[in-house]
Amino acid sequence: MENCVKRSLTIAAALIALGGSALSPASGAAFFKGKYTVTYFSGPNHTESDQVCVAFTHAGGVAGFPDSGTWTARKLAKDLGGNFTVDGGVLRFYAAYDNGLSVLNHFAVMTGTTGAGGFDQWDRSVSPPAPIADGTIQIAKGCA
Amino acid sequence: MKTLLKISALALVCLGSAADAKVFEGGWSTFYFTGPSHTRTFGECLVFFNTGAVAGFADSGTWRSNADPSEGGNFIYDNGVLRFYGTSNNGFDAVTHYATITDFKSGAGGFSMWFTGTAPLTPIQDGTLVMDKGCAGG
Repeated sequence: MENCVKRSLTIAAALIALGGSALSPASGAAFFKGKYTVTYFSGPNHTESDQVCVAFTHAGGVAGFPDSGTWTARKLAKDLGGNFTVDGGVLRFYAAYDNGLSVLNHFAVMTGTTGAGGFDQWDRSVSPPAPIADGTIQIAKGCA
Repeated sequence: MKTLLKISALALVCLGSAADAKVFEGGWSTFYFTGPSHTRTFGECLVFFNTGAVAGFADSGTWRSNADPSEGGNFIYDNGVLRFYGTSNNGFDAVTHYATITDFKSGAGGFSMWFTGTAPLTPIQDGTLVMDKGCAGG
């Protein structure tokens, strides 16, 4: 009987441990947030054109994505602001500025704290939109 | 004479290569998978017109949706990556896409759509997409 109780307790402890570990990724999930340096490479020759510190704030709920939120980059424009989502290792982030008439959009495939992808920047007040810049980006955790 | 023939042959080879060079254009069936669970939400035929010169990219142009005449914008094909953006819903919504397409036959990527205006922006939908060359019915 004593052995049976001990075995039951051991099994119960194992189940709790399993349950705990299964729950922990969700409860302790590391959401995307903080400051990242985005380096822009514009045009077909991918010439480095700018380097900006971007601040991501986790809020959740953007288009239903738990790992999502808002971002700003005051160096680019004081009224620039937009949303981001992290979707299966891909970061997508877009924003409006210039009283909402211009758009700055990016994507980056993330590997750890760095990533690479593309961007487009355009004026939506005309049709078709007037391109401002287009090219690739690199993104890395932290700002100088 | 032999030199002349060699030059002519070389010129023909060069002309052939130029003629074979592919540019991004035509109808592409585009399927959207929305939200974190990537639920397939809709598909549409997008038509790309290669005009060049968008933001300095030679392989670039405009695009429009066959389903929604108000949906369209610009595209750029950059080293196997297609980026295209624009507006829909008579300019009230902004939409951006990207897809990795290396064989001019099919590709996959992502998209975002949101209500235009000033920040904070209201998202409409976000997710992944798949593109296949050609559209049903032509």
